[in-house]
Amino acid sequence: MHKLDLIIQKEGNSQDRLIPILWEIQKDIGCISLDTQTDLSKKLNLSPAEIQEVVSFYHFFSEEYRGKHQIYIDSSIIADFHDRNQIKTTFENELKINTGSVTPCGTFGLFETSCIGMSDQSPAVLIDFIPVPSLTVEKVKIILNSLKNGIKLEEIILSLGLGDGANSSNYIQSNINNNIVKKGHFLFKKWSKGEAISIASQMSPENIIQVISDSGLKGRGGAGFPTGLKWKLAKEVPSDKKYIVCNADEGEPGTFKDRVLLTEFIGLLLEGMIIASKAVGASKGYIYLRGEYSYLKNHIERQILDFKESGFINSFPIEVFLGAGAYICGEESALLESLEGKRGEPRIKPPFPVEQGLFGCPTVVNNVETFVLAAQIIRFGHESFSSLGTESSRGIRLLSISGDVEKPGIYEYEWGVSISEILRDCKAIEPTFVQVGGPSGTMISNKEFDRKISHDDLPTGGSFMVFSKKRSLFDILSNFMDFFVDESCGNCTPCRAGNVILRDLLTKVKTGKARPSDLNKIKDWGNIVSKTSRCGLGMTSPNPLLTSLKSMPEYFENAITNKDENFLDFDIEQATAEYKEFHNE
Amino acid sequence: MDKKVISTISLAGCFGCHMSFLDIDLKLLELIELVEFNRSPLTDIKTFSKRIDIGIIEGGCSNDENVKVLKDFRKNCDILISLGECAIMGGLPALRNHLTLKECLEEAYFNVPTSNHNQTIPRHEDLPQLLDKVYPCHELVKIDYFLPGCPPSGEIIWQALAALIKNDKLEISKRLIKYD
Ligand SMILES: Cc1cc2nc3c(=O)[nH]c(=O)nc-3n(C[C@H](O)[C@H](O)[C@H](O)COP(=O)(O)O)c2cc1C
Ligand code: SF4
Repeated sequence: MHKLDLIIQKEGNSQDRLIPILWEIQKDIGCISLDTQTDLSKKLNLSPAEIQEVVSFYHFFSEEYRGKHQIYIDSSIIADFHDRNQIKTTFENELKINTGSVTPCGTFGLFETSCIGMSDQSPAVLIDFIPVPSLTVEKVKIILNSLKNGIKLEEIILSLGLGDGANSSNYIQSNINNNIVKKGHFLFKKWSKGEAISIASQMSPENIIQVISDSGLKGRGGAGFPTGLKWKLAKEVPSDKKYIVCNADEGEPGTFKDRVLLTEFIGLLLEGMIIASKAVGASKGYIYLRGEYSYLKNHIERQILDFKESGFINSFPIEVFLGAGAYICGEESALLESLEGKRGEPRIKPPFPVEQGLFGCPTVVNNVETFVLAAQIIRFGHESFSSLGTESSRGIRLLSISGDVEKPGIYEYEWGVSISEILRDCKAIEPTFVQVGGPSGTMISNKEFDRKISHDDLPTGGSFMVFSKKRSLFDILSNFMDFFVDESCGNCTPCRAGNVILRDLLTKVKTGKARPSDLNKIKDWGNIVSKTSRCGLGMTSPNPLLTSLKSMPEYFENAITNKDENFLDFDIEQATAEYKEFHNE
Repeated sequence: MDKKVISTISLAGCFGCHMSFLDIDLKLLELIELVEFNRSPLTDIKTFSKRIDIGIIEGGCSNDENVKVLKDFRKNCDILISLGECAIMGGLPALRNHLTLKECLEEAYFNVPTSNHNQTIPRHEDLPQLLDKVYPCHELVKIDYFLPGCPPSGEIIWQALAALIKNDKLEISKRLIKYD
C-alpha cells in the first residue's frame, strides 16, 4: 500500500487528524511537498488550499526538504547569552552550510526556532525533534561526527549521559535535567497514585468545584482566570459532549516548568484532568503537547495506559496531541483550532471555550500546573492551598528561573515573594534587569527588586529571566520583538504590522538613529497594538518595550544623541551603492 | 492676513496628486486669495525665493535627486505635507522594492516588449542615480502632516489647506478617507 494510505489508515481521514498526518509525513519524508499536499487533499476531501494553509502555518512543517536530520537551534535570548552564536557557527562550519539551509547531500538541515523550553540548560538544539541541551563546541562536533558515521541519535544521547529523575527512564531516555532547585511544601508532597481520584470519587461534581473555588486557585497559564469558576461555567452548559484540554504548549520563552511537571508529575496531571472531567461531565481529554516536547510523548502515553490498566480512566480517554511549532497555539482558542486540524489562529471571543470550545462543545482548557495543583488541592483540602500566598494570589507558583544565575531551574514559591528574595535564592549574578513572565510580561530594573510576584503586582506564567549588568537592554528587547514578529499569526493588522513597526523603532534606538520623538512613537504604537489586537499575543507584545521605557527611560534617552527632528539619518552612499555597482563604478 | 506661501513638488509620483490639487476647481479662486505660490511645477519656479509656510510633497524618493529636493523642501518650509500614497508609503514605484535594482533595470530596458533592443542602460552624470529602494518621505525628513489617497481627492486637499491657512481644526469626514 502507498505510504500516504498507510498513514491515513492509521490516523483516520477526518480534518481533525490532519496535523498528526502531516507530522508523520514531515518526519518520514522531511517535507510535505505540494504534490503530497494535492494527494492528501483528495484523500481527506479537502481542497489543496486547506492543506497548504495548515502546512505553511506551523514552523516544523515545510514544503521544501528539511534534510534527513533536521536541526533546530533555540533562538531565545537566554541561549543568545549562553554562546548560542558559537554553537551556531560550529554547526555551520562543520556542515558547511548557512543556517536556514540543507547540506547538498540532503543529510542535514540547519534551522532556528523559538525557545524550546531548555533555558535552564542553554544552549540547546532539537535534533530530529529530540532536545539536546548544554551544548559545547566539542559536543556539537561529537554529535555531528557520530551522525555522519551512521550512529543512531538514541545511542549518541545515551553516550552523552542521561538526565536526572524520570528523564533516564525507559520511556524518555533524554539528556535533559529537571533542575528542581527549590521544593516547597505543597506541590512536592509525596504522590500516591489514585489518591486524589479516589477522594474525588466520593464527592459530587458541585462539591469538587466548590473545593477548587474555595482554594482560590487561578489558572497558571498566564491569564489567571479562577479555575473553579471555569469548571462551573463548563458544567452549566448543557451538552452531550464536553472536553477537557490540558495546555502543554509552554511556548513563553524562558518557561520550562511544564516540561518538568510532565516529566515528574504526569500522574498528578492525569488525576487533575480526570477530576476535572468528573466536575464538568466531560467525555474526552486531550493533552496538547508542544512539538518541542515530543520526546515526552511516549512517557505520557505510557502513564495514560497505566492509568487505564488501573481502571482510573474507563470512560474518559485521554489523547496526546502534538503541536507543530507555533507559540500562538498556546492561546486557548488557537489551540482548539489546531486540535481541529486547522491553522492556529485565535477565535473571536465570546463565545468562550467553556461555551463553545472544541468542535463547538463546552471545553475546559487549563495549564499543566493548574491540573496538577487541582489534584493536590483535592488531596489536601482547599485550606492547605488558600492559606498560602496573598489575598489576590492564593497558593504557590512554580517559577522557571534562567539567565545570569548560578542555580537555574525550578523553584516553588508562595505568591507574594519579592524579586530580591528570589534573586538571592537563585544566586543571581550582578542582576540588573529581570523579565518577569517572559517576553509578554514585565521588564523591571534593579530599582524595583522589592516588587512582588502576585496578580496585583507582577503576575507571571512562570518565566523568570535574570540579566546581569553586562547584558544590553536593547539586545534583550530586540530578541523579544523578533520573537513576536515571528510568532504573530498575522490575522489582525495591529499585531501583524504593529510589531514590525515597534521593532523598527527599537532598531533605530539601538543603532543610534532615533530622535526624541521616536520614544513617543514607541508609546503610541505600543498602545495601538495592545489595545486593538485580537488576542493576548498582540495585547501583550509591546509590554517589554513599554515597561522598560517606563522604568528605565534613561537607557533610551542616553541612546539618542542626535536631537535634530527635521533630518533623519539617511545614508545616501549606501542607498546608491547598488546603482554604482551595477554600472561598475 | 498675509498671504501664506506655498510650494509643491512631485518626486517619485505620477503628478496625479497635482492633478487632484487642480481638481479643487472653483475653490482655486478662493485659494489664490489666501496664498501665493513659490517654487512649484504649477508656477514653473525652480528655486525658493523666500521662506515657505507650507510645502506639499507628492511622491516618495526613488533617486538621489529626489533626496536632495526633499531635503531642500524641509530646509525651506515651516510645514511639510506628504500628499498621497507614494509620498506616504512609496506607492506604486515601491513595487520595485522586492526586486534588485539589476532585475528592475534589465526588465525595464531589455525585457519589456517595447524595448528598443539597443541593449544599453543610460548612465550619465546628469542623470539621477537610482536608490536601492523607493523610500517614503518621512524616513528621510520630518513630515508634519499626511494626506492619504491615491490620489487624495481635491476636497481633502482643499479642506486641509483651508484649515492650515485659517488655523482651524481639520475634520475630514470618513467618506473622504475610506478607501475599501
Ligand atoms: C500568545 C499566548 C500564548 C499562550 N501560551 C500558553 C501556554 O503555552 N500554556 C498555557 O497554559 N497557557 C498559555 N496561554 C494562556 C491560555 O490562553 C489560557 O489562558 C490558559 O491555557 C488557560 O489555562 P489556565 O486557566 O489554567 O491558566 C497563552 C496565551 C496567549 C495569549
Ligand atoms: S493579536 Fe496577533 S497573534 Fe493574536 S490574532 Fe491578532 S495577529 Fe494573531
